[in-house]
Amino acid sequence: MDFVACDSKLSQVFWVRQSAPGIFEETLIAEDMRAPVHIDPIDFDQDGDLDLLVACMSFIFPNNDPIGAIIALENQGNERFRRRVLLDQVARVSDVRAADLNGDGLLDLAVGQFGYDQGEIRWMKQTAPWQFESEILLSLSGAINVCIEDFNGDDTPDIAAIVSQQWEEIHLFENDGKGKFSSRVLWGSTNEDYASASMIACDLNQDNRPDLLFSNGDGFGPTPNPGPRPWHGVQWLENLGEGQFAYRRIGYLPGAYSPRAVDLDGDGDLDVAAVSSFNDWSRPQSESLVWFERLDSGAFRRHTLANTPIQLLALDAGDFTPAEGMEIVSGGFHAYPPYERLSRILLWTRGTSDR
Amino acid sequence: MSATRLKRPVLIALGVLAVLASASYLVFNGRANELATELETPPWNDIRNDTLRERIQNRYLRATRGFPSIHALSELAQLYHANGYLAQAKQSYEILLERSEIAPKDLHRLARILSTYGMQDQAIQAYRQVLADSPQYTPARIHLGNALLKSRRNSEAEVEFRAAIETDSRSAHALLGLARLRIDRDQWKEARKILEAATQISNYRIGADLLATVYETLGENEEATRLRRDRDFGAYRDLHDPWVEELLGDCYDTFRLATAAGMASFREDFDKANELIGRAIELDPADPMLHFQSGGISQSAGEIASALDHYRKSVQLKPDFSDGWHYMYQIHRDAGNAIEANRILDDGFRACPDSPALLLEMSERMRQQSRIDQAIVFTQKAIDLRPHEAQAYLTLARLHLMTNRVDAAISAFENALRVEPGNSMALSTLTLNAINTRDQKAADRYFERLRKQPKMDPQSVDQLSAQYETQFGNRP
Repeated sequence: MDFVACDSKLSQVFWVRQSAPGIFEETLIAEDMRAPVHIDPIDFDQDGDLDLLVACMSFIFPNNDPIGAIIALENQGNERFRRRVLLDQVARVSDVRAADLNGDGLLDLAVGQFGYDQGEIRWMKQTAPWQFESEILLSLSGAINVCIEDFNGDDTPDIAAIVSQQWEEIHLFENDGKGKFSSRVLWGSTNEDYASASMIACDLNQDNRPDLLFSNGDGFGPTPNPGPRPWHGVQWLENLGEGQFAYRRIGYLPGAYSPRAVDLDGDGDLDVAAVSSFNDWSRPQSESLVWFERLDSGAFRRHTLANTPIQLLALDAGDFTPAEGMEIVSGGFHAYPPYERLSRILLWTRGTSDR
Repeated sequence: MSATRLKRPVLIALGVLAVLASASYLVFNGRANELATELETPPWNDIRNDTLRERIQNRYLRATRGFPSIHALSELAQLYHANGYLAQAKQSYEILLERSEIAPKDLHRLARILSTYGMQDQAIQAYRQVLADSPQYTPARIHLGNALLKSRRNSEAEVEFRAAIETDSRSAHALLGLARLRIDRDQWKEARKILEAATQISNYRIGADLLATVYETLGENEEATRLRRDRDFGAYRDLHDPWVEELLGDCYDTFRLATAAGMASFREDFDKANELIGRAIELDPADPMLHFQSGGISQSAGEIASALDHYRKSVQLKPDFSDGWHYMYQIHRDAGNAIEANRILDDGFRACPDSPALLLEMSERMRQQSRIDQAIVFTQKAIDLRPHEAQAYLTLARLHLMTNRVDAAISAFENALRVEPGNSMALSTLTLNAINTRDQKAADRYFERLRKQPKMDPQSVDQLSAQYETQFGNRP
């Protein structure tokens, strides 16, 4: 298995290719990608190869200018990608996902735009190959992630979005199957500094209903350097069916980002792995990679997997090596002190400290 | 009447008292033992401050052993809450609530924890109980409104926001809540009216972000652009909640105190900010970042001497902390103290030769001395260190223009725009260059971007449009 990644500082998208079992080589796919922050690999033009949909903020640190973009890298074979700008000069784009949202056989887009004071959630209907019409679903700043799944069990794809800034809410946009969405708040915190950070859809309890796994761990605030908050951590909204969801806390993790549902201990249920970006790094014991083991009772037990390197922001899991079981890939974000214990992209293998 | 007969009732009375006392002791001791079973052991491994450890131990023992003390349990809950042990605080408050021994302030604090985690049904119940006792406490009312709003109980939320405004007619947060309810009902014009009131009351600290969106939705683009151009972004202020914030008097966590100080400073309550950051410094006087933040608070409050003292302390503690030097330098420079400013810049640059900010100040010094090539060297080093920031590219462009290296300047402006696509200086200069070089395609491209940038000064855009017309014969 390979993986793709983006480097927002260098504005690059690259492909980490497994050329032989366990041997990884990095290939630059695209430059000048305007501070890319998320990639959705999908066969968007349905020609049998994976294209890349890239969410571009254009500027990572606070900025309210309409400078965001979605850039598609259309796979043309032979490691060549054609660049297509699908959306431009809008509130900074933080996430983009594709699915056929109106049942016309063409893939459409769900888009989260963080912006800063003004942001949006929109869907973009594909009207002709690589041509789109946009409809705004919500006009709030702070959108971080959008997820597409059939959340209400009516056999049509819906959109869920996590919105941070002072709103701190998870919204569900229920689809009638033809691209008409009705919106409602699924969950919200009244703490304006709750610091929502990441969200994915996954069937965490394996009941064939998509749940929402999310973290709060953004550490920026009114201090010279960012840092943890006591309410940071990982949690999920259990999908109870028929559009009903229940909040479940998984555990405390200061600076928590990028939780992923993955069976790390191979016992058949899904555990949760997460990283920390904004912990108290003056303490050597502060955790940067954590495993929340799912117990038979359904509760989670926290295990520290690593204290170093620090300031990890991105995480994904997969069966990357010939060794049995799942591995983890992490990405570092080093934009503030301490500039030590650095990393860029790491592969974490099982049972050893090798990475 | 004999003495024996007199003594008998006294003895009986004493006996009854002894039985009552024993029974009371057993009952209370039973309750204490129940508490000892219910209450989790304090998280000793996480408590680093000795005084806090001692205080928690004292309250924990008083709450769980011997004669039970509800007061000690309340204090224990507050100590936990103040120091970020939210799970323990929640549990302690909940025990008080179960025993109907909880004070309104503690119940409000419990509600804040519950609503932080989005456990809104329980939070709503708690807030309602708080307001039954303390109907005038507006923060509880607004939090209740928000908890109801997030639970899609909009008509109940409306009642609470309206009640909050009745208690405090200048409550911009309550108006913001009402505006969100209007937006939810697609009543955009009403939302606009409410948000305009909220922004006026709060000097654009609350509601301005949403108001720009409302203007755009209503097609009032000029108003939206004006708002986005004239107001700094990120101005939003959190709701001030004294009942929770007063817990910080028992906080021993310097980062939490610094965060609270930052919040207080942001709402321009500089006395509170100074008090909190001062307490943090007392706890950890060797932390340079606390002194740096204290310097910033003093500077915001106009207390320049105090700001300089704290900035100086920050670099004494950490000589390679470039921001401390830079802020000190700027204060002296802006005050016209050139000699002192230059001395600080020299000292700072010696201590931090790789600081992009100080490199740019060195560049500026060289420029003032007409040593442009040397200024370019400093600027280029700043770019090498932070290639993703626009400021150094803009400096480089200006330096090149001063020596008529136009192509190099244009290249630098292009780099500035590449790393910061909304940069108005780079955008307007490149537009002008495209006009002057008769590159109409490029000029059109830049104009399209320029028009979407709310921070662009309309007069500059008009001037550029006129120049475009002169050059190409039509308006862009």
